[in-house]
Amino acid sequence: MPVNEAFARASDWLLFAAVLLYAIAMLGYAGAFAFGRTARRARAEVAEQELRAEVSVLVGAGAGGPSGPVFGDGSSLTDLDRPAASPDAAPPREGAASKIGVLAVVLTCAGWALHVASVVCRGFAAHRAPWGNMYEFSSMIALIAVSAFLFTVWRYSVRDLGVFVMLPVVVYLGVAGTALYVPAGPLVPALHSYWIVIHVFAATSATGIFLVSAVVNVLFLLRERYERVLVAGGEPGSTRFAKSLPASGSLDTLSYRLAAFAFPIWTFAIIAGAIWAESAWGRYWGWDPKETWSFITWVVFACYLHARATAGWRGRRAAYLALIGFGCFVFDFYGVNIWISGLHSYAGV
Amino acid sequence: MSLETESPDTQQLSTQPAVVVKPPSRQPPVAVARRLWRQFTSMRTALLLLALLALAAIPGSLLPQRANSPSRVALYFRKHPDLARFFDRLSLFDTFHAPWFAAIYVLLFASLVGCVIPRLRMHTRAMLRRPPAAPARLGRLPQSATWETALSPADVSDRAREALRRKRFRAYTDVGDGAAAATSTVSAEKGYLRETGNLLFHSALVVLLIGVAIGSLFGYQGQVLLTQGQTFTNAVSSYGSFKPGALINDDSLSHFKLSLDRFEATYQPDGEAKSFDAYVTSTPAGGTPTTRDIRVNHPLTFGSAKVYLIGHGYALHVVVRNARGTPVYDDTVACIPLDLQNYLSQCVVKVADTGARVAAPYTDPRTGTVYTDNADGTPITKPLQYGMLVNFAPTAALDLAHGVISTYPDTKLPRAVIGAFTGDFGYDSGIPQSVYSLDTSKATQITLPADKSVVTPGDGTAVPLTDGFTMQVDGVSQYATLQVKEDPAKLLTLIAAGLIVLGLLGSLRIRRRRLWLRATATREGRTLIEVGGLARTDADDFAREFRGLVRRLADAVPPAVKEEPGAR
Repeated sequence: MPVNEAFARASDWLLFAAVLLYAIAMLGYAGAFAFGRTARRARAEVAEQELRAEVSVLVGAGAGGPSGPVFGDGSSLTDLDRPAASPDAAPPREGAASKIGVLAVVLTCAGWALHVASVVCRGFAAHRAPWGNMYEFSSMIALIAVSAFLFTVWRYSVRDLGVFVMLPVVVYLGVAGTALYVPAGPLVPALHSYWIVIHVFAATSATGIFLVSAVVNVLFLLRERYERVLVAGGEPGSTRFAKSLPASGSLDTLSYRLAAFAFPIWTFAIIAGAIWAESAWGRYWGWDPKETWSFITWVVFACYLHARATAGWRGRRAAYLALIGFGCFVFDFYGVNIWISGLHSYAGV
Repeated sequence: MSLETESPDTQQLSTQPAVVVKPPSRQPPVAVARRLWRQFTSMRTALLLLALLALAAIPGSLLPQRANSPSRVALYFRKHPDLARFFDRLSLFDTFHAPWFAAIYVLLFASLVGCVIPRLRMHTRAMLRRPPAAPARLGRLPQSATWETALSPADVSDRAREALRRKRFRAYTDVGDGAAAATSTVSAEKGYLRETGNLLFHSALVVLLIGVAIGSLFGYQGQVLLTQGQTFTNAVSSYGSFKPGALINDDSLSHFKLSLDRFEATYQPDGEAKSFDAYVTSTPAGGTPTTRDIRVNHPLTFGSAKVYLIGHGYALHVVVRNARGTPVYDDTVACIPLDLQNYLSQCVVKVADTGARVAAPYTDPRTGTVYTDNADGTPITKPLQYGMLVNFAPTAALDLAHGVISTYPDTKLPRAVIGAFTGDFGYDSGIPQSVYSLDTSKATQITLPADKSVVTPGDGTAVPLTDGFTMQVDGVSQYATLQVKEDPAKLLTLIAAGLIVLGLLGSLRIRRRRLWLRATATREGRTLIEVGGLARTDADDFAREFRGLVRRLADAVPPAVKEEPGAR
């Protein structure tokens, strides 16, 4: 069946518009991060004072507390339904910076919708699942990364991280749309299988989520260094900007959660690939370079998950392992296709 | 090897008394062995072995591997002979079959088994046992709450237990007796499936490895090339290349017969392949012949054996005639593609028996005397033999640098470029030869007329050789390369893989948490309720969950209304 040119053009333009919106949103997040800092710091101090006052009141009040359950931190069920000491808790925010931040999220959502439309149009243009070459993989990975980010914003209130997630996404889509771009077209016979939907979707999903996890990991390392400098009584110096980041503990937990969510998906992607390979090439595993690097990536992330549960390895060292794991991912998706010849070479640059 | 529960944090959070191991003053060998074994099965060892396994796999992806591309290994040997010999001594061209690679994963799996078995026992015991008793001071736990109620302690614990069971906690009450009758506690725990998933994951990894091992012992893989019209019977001797498992013989092969009726390839205008179909007539053991179509991704199944289409190429029908015009050679030769994009291919024709002999003068290596006759006066002769190297281009074009090349994979402008040799090719040397290569070192090239060195297959051009012999390329057909693979443990491996994912989901998504409630009668005739909670893994979300649970408990056990209003 010939390529539907109208859909193909629409897909390209939609992606362009989506990248534009992402870029504007990125600027918005950057603005909110930079200008929201002073206000946020001041608020944090006030909140801390209030907390201390509250505790002293409770201690002084003795038996005369509220009539319902009183929690260990002095709060009650009638307080905000969120533990006061939770590091996830976003302080209530007002002011221009916050409004810009909200606007940035709205723009990200709009960009996401256009991005979804672009992927769908690409599929209609080529009459197949739009996951057949590196340009299409890259677009899909970025889409999953944005989805994962929007989910974490909704679930864990981490809007401040927006600029750090959107920056790689925009750069990545820029590279994908220029250096990796190929026009919509049909697939070689080896890819004519419904497993392309299952295998490639799982693989790109895992990679997109690992991308966000890696970004959070980098931020964790910066924040962790900042905290170490402070504890040692030194001057923050070059790590100063990490002051406005969430506490290292929450960043570590967030990156772990994303990785722990993506790891079973990645495992499934490898298994689905093996099942497909069994029917396409006659063996489920043959140490093809792509298979080897998927295996290496899997093992490094297994290492990371074990390291997080091992004394002396949690925190910084585990974070470095996760970043090495993500490096393996990048090599698996791009390096193997570009520099090493193997059975996955048809994935097309 | 284990996940999470060995971490120091959770040990600190655990309310069970720490086990203090006293170092014995004198270590008997058993104790030393036990200590070494404990170290070997520790997480640290597992981490090290995992990291080693990842590192060890890297050369296998960067260097060509014999199992996947022997020709690229040979090329590497030609380009970097010294380096290649060094790498070969380290088995870097067979990384995944190298003893050191096997050593790493065998050690890893031994460490894993050594860790999983005791934990399996521990977990079974924990599943059968009640959650641990409440610690003395619940307020010290990471999450805690207190309130007062008018209900009696026994009532409180009954209601709380039911509320917690509704939230799928394993909850038990513990009513104190005698002096402690005024106290009643509930111990509850949830998330046992986390450890279940963890153990399932690690056990399934072991099963997966067993499945792979069975497959390589009792399975086999063979490749066969079929030109159109050829028939293949499944037996070890019929294969072009055959990789048997260690415990395989002819009887263990499934019995079936296949013949290639037609091979069809279609292409995009830009030369990308669109479809490949091998139309075959298949006859299972004791069955009737049926016509089938084998495509990429659509193998043919005979019992536990599967037949895959893994390659294709062109074959030339070559006829060699003697001076009287009688055919002395008439065969279809399969050509090996030199260029997988546009299928410029090389075909080797070996004419060993022409029925003719030619003079073969003998030069004495010491004196330099040339003898043309034997002692009895008959001339010294040897059999006349030919060897041809034919380059076939399905769509030929002339390239200044490379001569005749192909610009499209289909036969739009088929041309065969003929290089003919005569002499000694070692056909009769007794050393087995590859049908795809020709040793021309002791042969001389036959000079062909310019208009007869490039021919169109099937146009009837007779290419003159020596002694009145001629060669003709009568036509082009296509061949299919089929791979037959039998792996009796495939299903076991697949099930293990499924369990791996299931186990991972359990061990990574489920959190284990404990909750205790203590109800104590106060002097004012009320009951003081203390609740404490502890998440054994990933404690972040537990604060939120704990508040929800306390809300449930407060609904089940309503707080008493305070007499004096609070100071807030």
